[in-house]
Amino acid sequence: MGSPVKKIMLCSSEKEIFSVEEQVMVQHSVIINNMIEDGSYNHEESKIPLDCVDSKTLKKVIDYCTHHTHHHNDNQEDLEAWDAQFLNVDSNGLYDLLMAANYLEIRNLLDLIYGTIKNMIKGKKIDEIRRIFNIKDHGFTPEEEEQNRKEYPHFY
Amino acid sequence: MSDITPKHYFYQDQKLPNELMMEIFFKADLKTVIQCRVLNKFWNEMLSPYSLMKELTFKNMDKYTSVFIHIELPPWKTSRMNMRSIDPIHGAVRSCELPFTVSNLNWWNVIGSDYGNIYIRYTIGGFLSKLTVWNSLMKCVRFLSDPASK
Repeated sequence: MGSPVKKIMLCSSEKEIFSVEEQVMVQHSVIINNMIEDGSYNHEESKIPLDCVDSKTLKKVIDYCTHHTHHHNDNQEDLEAWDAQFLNVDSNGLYDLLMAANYLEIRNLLDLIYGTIKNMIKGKKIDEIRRIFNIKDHGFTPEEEEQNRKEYPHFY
Repeated sequence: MSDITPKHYFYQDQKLPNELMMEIFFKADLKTVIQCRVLNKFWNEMLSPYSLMKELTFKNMDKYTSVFIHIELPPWKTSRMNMRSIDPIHGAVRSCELPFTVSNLNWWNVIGSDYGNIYIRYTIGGFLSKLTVWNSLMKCVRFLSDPASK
């Protein structure tokens, strides 16, 4: 009979409250770890407001942290398969996840998403990469663009 | 590029912050980074510094697998020594033109290629051989003098 699991409250941008094991978030999020350590979080009444993270994304982030806390002893293959399944979202979901992971400073999740985006752009033509990153105006003069196309024809 | 569906694009109004994009480029392979130099003006400047290229080159060293072959020479007067590089894994062939014409060199030969660099030994005037290193991907050239000639 151990002491009850300590929980913390996270509040999404829609003001929905998520109750998570403290250990799970502390282990993964640098920001929450700092909050708990410096005592700015009061277990009786505090909620951590995450104004730039919506409920759907926050739920996924919590899923990720929980899984990686409880399954960190699983073999690498299982974890990778789980990660791949976890990131099977459209790019808007991916964008939201990236921003949330960046906000909460969840290193593993950031690396995972960077790797995914890296693979998305690898071997693509430049117009495709511009579209992926949503770059509409390249800002080159017609002469510079011409020069680029001449120098790196295989990129276009 | 048929494997790309609209789900791979970010929202119309969404743009990754530049510092996060930089993190992605740090993890990407050198070829992708060089390609992203022509994304737009901003990234052209951000991804060009020599120090960044050097760092990425060292990081990518064991991954780099181009093979260089030298295909044609003439016409001598204007030739820039048309070399091709072949990626042995994907079979992609790229031409990598030298930044100078070989007709300016009295005597030269290619003494090796490694990690995407071509090493050329040459002399002007028949003595004092010199070394030049050319990286066609990054468009960097370096002229070195032979330490033995001192």
